[in-house]
Amino acid sequence: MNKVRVIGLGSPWGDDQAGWRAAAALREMFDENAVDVRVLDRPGAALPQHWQNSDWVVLLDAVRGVGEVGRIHALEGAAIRRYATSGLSSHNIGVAEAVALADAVGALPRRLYLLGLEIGAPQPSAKLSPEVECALAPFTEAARAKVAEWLSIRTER
Amino acid sequence: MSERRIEVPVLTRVEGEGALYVHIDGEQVKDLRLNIFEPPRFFEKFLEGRSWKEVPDAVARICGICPVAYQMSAVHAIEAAFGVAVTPEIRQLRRLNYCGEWMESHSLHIHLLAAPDFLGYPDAIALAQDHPDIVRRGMRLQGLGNSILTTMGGRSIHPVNARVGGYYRAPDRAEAAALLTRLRDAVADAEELVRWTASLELPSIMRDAPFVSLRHAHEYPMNEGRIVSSEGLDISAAEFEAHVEEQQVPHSTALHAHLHGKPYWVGPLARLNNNLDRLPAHTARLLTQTGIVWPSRNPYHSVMARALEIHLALTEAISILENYQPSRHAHVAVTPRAGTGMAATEAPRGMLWHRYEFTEDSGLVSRARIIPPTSQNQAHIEADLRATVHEHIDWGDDALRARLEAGIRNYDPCISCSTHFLQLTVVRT
Repeated sequence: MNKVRVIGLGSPWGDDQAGWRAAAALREMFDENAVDVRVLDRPGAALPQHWQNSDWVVLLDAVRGVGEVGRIHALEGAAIRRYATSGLSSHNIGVAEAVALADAVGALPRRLYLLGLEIGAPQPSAKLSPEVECALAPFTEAARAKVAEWLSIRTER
Repeated sequence: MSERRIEVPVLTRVEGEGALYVHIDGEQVKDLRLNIFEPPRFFEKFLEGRSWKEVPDAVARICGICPVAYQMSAVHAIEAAFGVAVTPEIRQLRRLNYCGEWMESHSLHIHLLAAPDFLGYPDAIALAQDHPDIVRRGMRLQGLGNSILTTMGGRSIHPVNARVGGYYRAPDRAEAAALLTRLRDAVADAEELVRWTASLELPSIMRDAPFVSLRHAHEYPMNEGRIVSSEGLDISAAEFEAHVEEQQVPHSTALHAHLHGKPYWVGPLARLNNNLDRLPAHTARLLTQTGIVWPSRNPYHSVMARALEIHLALTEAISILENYQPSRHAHVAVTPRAGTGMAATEAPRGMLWHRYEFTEDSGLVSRARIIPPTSQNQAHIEADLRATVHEHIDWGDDALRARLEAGIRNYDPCISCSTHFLQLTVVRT
């Protein structure tokens, strides 16, 4: 089995950095020979390239609009595409749209798991908001647990 | 006499805002206005007082799809102001960089924006479900463009490696070899893409406006060349402002650019039409196989121009990498001085012109001016849309709206993201 790949999505700004922060924490928790961690800033339609040759992929991203700030959402596989909007353009391809495109062309990894952390309105700040700061630990733990689960499946095989 | 008003109120996107208003009175188009609000305008002011060293990274933020174009126009203009000449090796690296951006941007436009219009799908996801091989091929070519951008820029979005005088770091031998292998494997994809675009059923229309692009003495233009038009213009970048005038129009915060008082046309079709004799032999052969009489005045042939430029960029990138010898010096020394420099390069969407003034030797920008391709095309796009309404005045509102949206998208303006969301209000009296 190839490595588990963790992809943190976001930017260096405000609560949008939640995915990056969690990914950075995971990098310290696992052997780099077993878990490959990378962070991306709006990869758009290029996102599927980052899971090429990976069967096990965890996406970590800040999300908005489906719950209260700090809530953790988990989606697996093609279910992520449920949130895709129509009218794709080169400037607004988000995670759901990239997953929808990849699914349509048969380019999804065997296991794809999205953990989303609900944030509020983006702020031009270098810091997380107190609510998201509080939620970062359970968000990271949820990601750690999923990676550990997949690694144990790998070991059993 | 029937009167119709087709209105697109407000489109708000991060990368641009657009709106379309059409007033039809009987058989006449009484009014047609395409509003574009261009974020790059603010950057000109942001750059004042900034060091020359900051400019390439700052302008890369103007567009997430064509940051290299902004970087290249900026570094060439600043080098002109400071009297800097780069080495042939750096020049080749810059062309390689541009090849990546053309491949990435054109592949995105063809497959995610234009193709659904031509094949009758609402968007690329629906298209991909019925034609996965076509979209998969597009994603492969776009991914290769991204790989070039990542190699040259340090990252594919908002690259940080270009600088005045060259690059902070040049690719090493192993990076170049890995890239070369992948690019060679994609040549068949690029050839097939050209043939596929030539097989599309495209609207058959003709539009009349001067084609404006760069033209180089012996190569297809990317970073260098004179500014030429299909009507005989032949000027340097420094003379551009004497021929092109930007005008404010009441309905748009974006300026309309006119060449000698008239709309003009930039972009891949203009570039191709003006440089048919600069295509490398293998791309020229594909051009003849399209069955189109070139130069073409049909704006929908832009999709073929983009495919041909992907092939050209791919094969040129291969050629550059085959001859690549890593140099210890990725950039030349730069000493700032007072002066003004202008440069134009060929962004995927058309010619992008920059001017930078430095009133002191400190290298702080005194004034900047950027004229992006979407601004240059805006008046011509309005003229095209007006002609489209005239040609299809008997069409119902939905059909007319669809054709107008496709017509806007066909130019690949930075408001492409918005134009998919046009909500037309039609008033008939």
